[in-house]
Amino acid sequence: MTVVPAGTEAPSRVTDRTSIRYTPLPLSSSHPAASALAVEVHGLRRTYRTTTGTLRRRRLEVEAVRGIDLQIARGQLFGLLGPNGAGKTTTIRVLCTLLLPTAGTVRVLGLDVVSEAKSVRRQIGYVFGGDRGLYDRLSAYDNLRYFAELYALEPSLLRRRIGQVLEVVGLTGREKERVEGFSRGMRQRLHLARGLLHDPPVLFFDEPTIGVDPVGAREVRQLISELARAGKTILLTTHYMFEADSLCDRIAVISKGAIVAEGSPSQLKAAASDRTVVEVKAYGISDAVVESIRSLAGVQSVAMEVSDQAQLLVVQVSDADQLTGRLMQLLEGVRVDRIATREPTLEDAYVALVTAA
Amino acid sequence: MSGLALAGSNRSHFWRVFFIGGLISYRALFYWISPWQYIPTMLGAPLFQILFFVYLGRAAGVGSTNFFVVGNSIQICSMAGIYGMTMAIANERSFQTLSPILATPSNRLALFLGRGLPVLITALQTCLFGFLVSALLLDFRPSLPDLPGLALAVLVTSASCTGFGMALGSIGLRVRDVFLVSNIAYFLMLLLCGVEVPIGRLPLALQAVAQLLPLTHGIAAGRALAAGAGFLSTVPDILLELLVGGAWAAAAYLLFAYFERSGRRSGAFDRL
Ligand SMILES: Nc1ncnc2c1ncn2[C@@H]1O[C@H](COP(=O)(O)OP(=O)(O)OP(=O)(O)O)[C@@H](O)[C@H]1O
Ligand SMILES: [Mg+2]
Repeated sequence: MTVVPAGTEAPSRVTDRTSIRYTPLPLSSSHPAASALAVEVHGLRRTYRTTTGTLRRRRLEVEAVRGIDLQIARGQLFGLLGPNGAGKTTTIRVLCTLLLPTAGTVRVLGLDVVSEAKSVRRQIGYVFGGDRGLYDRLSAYDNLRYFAELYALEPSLLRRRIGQVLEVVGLTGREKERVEGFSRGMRQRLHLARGLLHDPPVLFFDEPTIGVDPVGAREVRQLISELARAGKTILLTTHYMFEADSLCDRIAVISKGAIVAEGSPSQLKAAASDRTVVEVKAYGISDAVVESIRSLAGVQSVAMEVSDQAQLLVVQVSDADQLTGRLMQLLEGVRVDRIATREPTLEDAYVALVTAA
Repeated sequence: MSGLALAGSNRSHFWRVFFIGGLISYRALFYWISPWQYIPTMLGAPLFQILFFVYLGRAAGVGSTNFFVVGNSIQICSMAGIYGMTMAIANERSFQTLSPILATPSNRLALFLGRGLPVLITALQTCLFGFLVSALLLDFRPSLPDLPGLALAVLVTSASCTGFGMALGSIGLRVRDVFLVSNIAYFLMLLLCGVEVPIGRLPLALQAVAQLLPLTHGIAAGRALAAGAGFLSTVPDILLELLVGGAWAAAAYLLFAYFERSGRRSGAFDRL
């Protein structure tokens, strides 16, 4: 009598065990070791079809990414910079398997994002900026719990792991609260926690500090460099140049869907080192004056920021000594508060690149 | 932070996403879950609907109490089935959570179908409530030997309404104002599926449409069972109801799978 149940039970247990033993672990055996590159993008193009008008519909084709190449080595912290609409999010969403490339090949850890999408998904974490993309009516814990299930976390590890990621992003103690009561920064932290749940070796961060207060943003940056130190490969987009400068090993600047420069932060700065930045704080500079400054020989780029009533004119010039005089002539009649020259920063290099493109 | 094990087998992943994931997403997306919404919407309105039609039928001398009680008590499962299921899928769109979900390697079938179970339980619960108050307030006395059969008919009808709701939910992933469609579907079913009007009274074309909708066969079976016609005679209707619901659920999943694929092509996820 006892033979039958024992006999039927035993083999099924054994198969259970072996299947557990062969379960892939994200950090050890599961990703193909063949590729030394974490991300390889060759000739990526992506167009969107949209329509305008309600009655007379017109088809529109937007070329968001026009043939880019990217190579990110394992363990690298790579920054993708570029103005609004340059194609950063599009590129990241292709890498995250959420968008198909129109042309080109894209691999993550040697896995093709089109034909091996499911395997890619196990290896990546996707964190985007902003306060959407969370279940407002659930607690932070339940938000994470849901995704822990979707990422097939081992049930016995689940609670501990959620505790860990909450700790990492500094939300411990708030996890029982509904997300609808969370501030922007707290939501952003929850996004980060969610991206880390399954401990993926490759992380995509699309503007992770947007809307986070300065202290919080610094913590997010610390977390990102912590993750880089732990060996993660990270692709980061941001509009804050100092953030890219302080965090990234390499940076690519993308503009209108094409990569216009790539290198380490210091290489990019060096590219702009042949020039000097002249900053003029003034009141009432007209557009016509800006245009005439722009057309001066030796002026590389002109940008204007407005704060309160004051204007900050940032002019990149190849020869400051020669051009400052001309500049002052053009600014005659304008109330100038301060004029100063300085070495170019990464931001200046960036501005030069994207205005030239 | 290293060497994190993933769940043992694909099978356990499937069921965990189905049961646990389904319940969490129901709590996240089903708006009427708080008692302030639930009691008036899921219990109050159905109760008045039953009372209204039974008294109307009695006053006008058309239809029996049995006809209206069974028709309406089963029909109210479509509240949860249609609106609940539409919410439990389509609201991903308003939270913009579709991208993060589809970026996971999770089993899509479990992810999708798991949302149906809590809705089905909600639907059953409203039907049970409908029958109970009908027994208490309206002297509804179903045949006792056929009570298990009636329960089965209610279960199958609730499931098929849920399957139909899934299809609306899938549409809602792509269409902005799917609740308009849900509203139309809800009231069209009230009209076409033999809830208040015997199907035989409808124009032939509409009778044909009714055959393809949930409720129709389930209510027919339920009425026969409540009147004590015997379980066997209702088996064809119960099977048809199951078939209709299964077909809608399958269509819903295929639509979802199609939207996932075409969304990757068009870039439509999370675009409001
Ligand atoms: N789903 C979409 N449908 C149609 N066009 C789109 C879609 N997503 C992006 N675009 C267009 O593609 C171009 C690139 O957009 P993308 O979001 O990749 O830019 P970005 O570099 O991330 O910009 P930002 O810094 O503002 O986030 C833009 O012109 C944008 O209008
Ligand atoms: Mg973007």
